[in-house]
Amino acid sequence: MLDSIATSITLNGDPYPLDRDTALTALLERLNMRRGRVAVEINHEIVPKARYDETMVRAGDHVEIINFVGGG
Amino acid sequence: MALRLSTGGRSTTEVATERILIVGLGGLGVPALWALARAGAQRKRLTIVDPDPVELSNLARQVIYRSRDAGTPKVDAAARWLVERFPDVNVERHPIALEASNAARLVAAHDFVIDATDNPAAKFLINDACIAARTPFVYGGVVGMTGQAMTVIPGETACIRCVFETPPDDNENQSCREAGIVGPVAGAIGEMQAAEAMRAWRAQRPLLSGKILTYDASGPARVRIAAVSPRPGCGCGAWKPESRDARSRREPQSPGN
Repeated sequence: MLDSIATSITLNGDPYPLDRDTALTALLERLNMRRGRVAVEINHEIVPKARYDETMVRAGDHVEIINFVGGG
Repeated sequence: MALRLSTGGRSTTEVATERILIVGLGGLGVPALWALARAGAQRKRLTIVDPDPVELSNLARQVIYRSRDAGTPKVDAAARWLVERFPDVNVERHPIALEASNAARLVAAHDFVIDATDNPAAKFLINDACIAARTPFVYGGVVGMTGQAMTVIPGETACIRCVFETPPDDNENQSCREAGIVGPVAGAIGEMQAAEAMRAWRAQRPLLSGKILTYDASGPARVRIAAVSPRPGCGCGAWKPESRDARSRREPQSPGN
């Protein structure tokens, strides 16, 4: 809705809108990224995969999602 | 000769950078090898490892091979090419796959490793062998229009397991076959890997130490370099409780970085 106050995070260096605090797993799903292939940093700290389910992404967070590239 | 590798101005690590191991002589390894040769690697000792023969389908992006090399082990074709152009090059050939049984011995005999392999399992194997031997290495990967690179200084900067923990469960070879490998993207990453090795042998800190570079030439193209911190609980030994405290203290002064 236009009159709602947009919440946003910084995702890989760019602003990314989030309408509310969001579970990391939900964000990954929305981005169509698979947890087994990615690394996630929130505010410059690596998030261990065991904590993905309990981790929330909040307004103002700096989120870096890195997809593993394993070919050559 | 042992050189001093500067590690951020606070401390130094004794690193000899005379013997360089290139694992894989495909889309990444060929440009890395060529770049090192042009950069004067003939005065270094290079070791090349790859179990595969040259195939005709390789020629478009693995530019040192010719059609007459088809069927020849890549290490032999590459060594012949190298010696023709750089007669005093010192190159050791291993027409084998890097495996758990030989990785430790091979890595320990070298001072810097270029991971130019084509599958996640090999990349994690190189990571683990280099961590155990405390040998710095540069990881590289490429699929389709996307490439990636990161240099690991064992015990100091984040390793592949700090960042990704375990190899992805799906089959990367399958995705490579589907997405292909785009020559210029592989070339860009392979050349960067060579540049990282050159910095190490000049006793300079490799630029991608503790930083992961993603070069995505698809869609909304972008180059992204993300600093990655060691992960508590990773067995590589790079995470130190005091480094976390230091980061926490710094953070208020550097928001947004």
